[in-house]
Amino acid sequence: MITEQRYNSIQPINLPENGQYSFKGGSSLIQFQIPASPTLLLTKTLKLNGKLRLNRSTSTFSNPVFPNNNAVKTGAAYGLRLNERVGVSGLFENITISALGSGGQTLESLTKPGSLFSVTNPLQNNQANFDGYMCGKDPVLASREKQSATDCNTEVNFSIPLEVAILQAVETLPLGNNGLRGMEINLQLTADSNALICSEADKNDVFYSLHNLTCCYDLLHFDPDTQAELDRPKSGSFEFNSWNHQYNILNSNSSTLTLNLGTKNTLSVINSTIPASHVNNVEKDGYSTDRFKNQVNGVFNTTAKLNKYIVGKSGRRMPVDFEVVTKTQAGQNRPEVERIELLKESMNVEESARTLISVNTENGLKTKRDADGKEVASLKSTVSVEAQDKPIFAIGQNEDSLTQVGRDFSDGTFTLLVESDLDGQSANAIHTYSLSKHKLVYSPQGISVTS
Amino acid sequence: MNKELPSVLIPQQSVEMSNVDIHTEILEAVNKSQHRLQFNIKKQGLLNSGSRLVLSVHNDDAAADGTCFLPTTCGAACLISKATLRAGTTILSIAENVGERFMIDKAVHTASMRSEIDQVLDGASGSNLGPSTNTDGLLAVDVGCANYTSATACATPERYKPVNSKTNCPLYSISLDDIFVGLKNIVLPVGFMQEQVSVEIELTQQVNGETGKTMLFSTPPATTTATSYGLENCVMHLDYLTYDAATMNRIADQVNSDKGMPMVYSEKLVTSSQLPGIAQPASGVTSDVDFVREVGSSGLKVNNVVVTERYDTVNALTGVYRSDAPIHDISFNWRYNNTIHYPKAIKNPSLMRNELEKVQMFPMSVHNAEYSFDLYSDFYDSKDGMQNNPIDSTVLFEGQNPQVLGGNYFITSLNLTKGPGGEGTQIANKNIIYERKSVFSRNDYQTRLIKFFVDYEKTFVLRNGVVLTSI
Repeated sequence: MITEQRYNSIQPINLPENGQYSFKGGSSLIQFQIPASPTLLLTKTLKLNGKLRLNRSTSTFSNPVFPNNNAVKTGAAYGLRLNERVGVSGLFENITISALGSGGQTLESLTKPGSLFSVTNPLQNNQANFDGYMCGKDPVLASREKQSATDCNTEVNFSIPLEVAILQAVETLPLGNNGLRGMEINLQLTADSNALICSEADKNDVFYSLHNLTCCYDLLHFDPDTQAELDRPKSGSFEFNSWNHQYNILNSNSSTLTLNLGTKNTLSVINSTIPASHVNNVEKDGYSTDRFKNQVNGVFNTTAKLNKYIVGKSGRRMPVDFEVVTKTQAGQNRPEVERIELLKESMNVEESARTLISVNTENGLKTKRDADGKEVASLKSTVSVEAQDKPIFAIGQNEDSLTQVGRDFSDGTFTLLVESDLDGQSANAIHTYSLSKHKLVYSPQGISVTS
Repeated sequence: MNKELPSVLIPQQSVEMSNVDIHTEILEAVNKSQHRLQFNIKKQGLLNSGSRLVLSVHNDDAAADGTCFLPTTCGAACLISKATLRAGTTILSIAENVGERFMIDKAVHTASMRSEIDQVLDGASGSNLGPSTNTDGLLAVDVGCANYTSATACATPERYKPVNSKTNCPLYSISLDDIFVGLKNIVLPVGFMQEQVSVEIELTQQVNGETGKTMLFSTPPATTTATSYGLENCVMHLDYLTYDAATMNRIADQVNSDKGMPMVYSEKLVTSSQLPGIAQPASGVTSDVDFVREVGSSGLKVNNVVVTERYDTVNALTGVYRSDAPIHDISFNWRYNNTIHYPKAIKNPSLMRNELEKVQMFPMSVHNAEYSFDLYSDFYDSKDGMQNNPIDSTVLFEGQNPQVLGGNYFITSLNLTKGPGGEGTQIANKNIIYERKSVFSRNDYQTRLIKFFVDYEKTFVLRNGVVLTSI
């Protein structure tokens, strides 16, 4: 019987002297440890809380100097912002969740979560979500980039979930001997030049910093009998999901990406792309989700069309048993419905209208109407009330939409053949994220994870 | 809660609707005046909790037609000051501060729900913020919940605006379970109750010189701001459900058993208080003040406490139905049963919002700029704050600067359920204590009215047609 749901809050175990975490300042690893206890962790209540500062080059700890995006404050404008679809999560290079039992068994290690969330957030949320509940917890999130920038003109509070699969896929995690035996969360901050977007003269000296960081979560406490049961070492197991990341470069107009995922129950795979020179480039959005780009004199500004792609296992076409041809748009300038649907299916949101990607907005059709149904996008030609008009380009597929058991890639490789207009001289990075099921097995001897 | 009840008596459970007979009735009030309405419910089957109360409200000054609108946060719910649900002389439920409570409930409705469903029923336009039509990077009343005539002007659609005529006028409605929260937990088996079930509505009064209680005006009326009700329009649209004989007999058997039928439901208890202000601080100066308030709750099994607060003023768009955010973050904590709820008082408004969502069980769908002034202030530049207002002052709603919508949803809470959807916590013989530190500054120093909405478990037993209630 549950006797209590108890709020807990912990500080990082490696708190710097002034409590400020920043990549530039050298304190870029944030570590939290949730101690073992005969309780259940309510995963959806686990939040990372803190304050975010975007600092101009003259900023100091005690006298911070913030940007003035869109000149909302008095004084001259100064542009410095983050990606509006990723938010604070874009500050992390890596999120690692480990069980404290058996010397810190890693449960999930998500690299470059920002590149994943820049695809999954718009796939799972519509404009009202971005401008409603999402920006309420993470003020950087917004449907339009200037709106997000305005929200970063001051020191702002955030309280965000860690959107790693293990915390999203299960409701509770046992923290006792009969389970994880405690949990460790490591957050590695990413480079300022990768997270920040700035074109000002001192752009190479701007930096972000995090303050007052805490991790809060609720624990379910039980009556003494149940508590003793949770604390008694015994054998058991439970399933959880985790994301894996791989990074590659595509350059030629016909490339086959061959990846050894090594996971038995692979649920979905998502690939997003970005010109290689835009990564760690403070002038560019490190989490853009634009199409393949060709470069001219080092500037990646020419779109290279994706003509066709084929996904498979060890060269055999599956789960999509046909070539996905995208070279020619459908007639009447209609959108590429087939590709959109495959991508949405990879996140199990194929039937949902609650995403930024729809067959209308993907094609630039204006959909905003006022209460009387009048079209309002053209009230002022220079201002749009639609979500930011920029592509969400990714290739994704659900590997097993039928049984949800997942495809076995332990005995074969994941293959992705891409035919595009890439010119062979323009390196485009491709981030591949695979979601797979794992099993955590615990026994009196310790815990282990099988894929 | 209510594990032993037949599923047809629990509104949230999906039940087989093919074997139900729905009898719909338009019920006139048996007693009606400008202050009070009383409805007597028929003894028939089960009363659908989604049954609705229909009202109309009118500006007394006919020349003000076209300038009137309902508060954006709660619409027609503001018309009910108090409601009482009785079986005979036994009070089953009392609803106070219905407008404010509806504002709290609507905060978790999605933007499209507020603009496409709620607005049609409660008449509240302008309830969402979205990208500004005039300045990229700022916010304004979302285009989906108002009528736009230009990039800088929008208003409530005419069909939702109160008018002077009591015959050719919009009608507003609010469901019974939005008035009486307990009806979200149970379906009332009125057909099995011996005594007369009645609903008594006390109507909110707005006299000349007042605004924001029942409606607001885009331009001040020439003669009077007083409002009145169209009593001929005030009715209830009731649905009585009658299931197949087996289901109804099972309910009858349980009602007529020795044990009777215990029904557990939520009830709200409101504790009101004040947080006294101070003399206006000089520019750049702040002053910390600690407050401790007792929240009436001893002896109750409490699910949660929700807190609203506001200055004693009228907001041009939300009237008196709002919860004003402080400019400097407050910090607060709770004590109950010798327990301190938070290891350290919480101060982060985004975290406060997360805590509220544990209570509301849904994401709170309002913009950060509507919840707190966190985005607005650079205290390192000046402790007066408010240098970075993200709401576009150039896009007027009903002729009013929409910046008054900023920080109108600062609702905080205490969750006392044991697990999601679990039981509440029994509070012993001492009330819950609310401890808070406010930081007053140049532009935020006035007295605040604070209300604690305590949600607790109440039980009534229906035995042989007779209703017996707990505290």
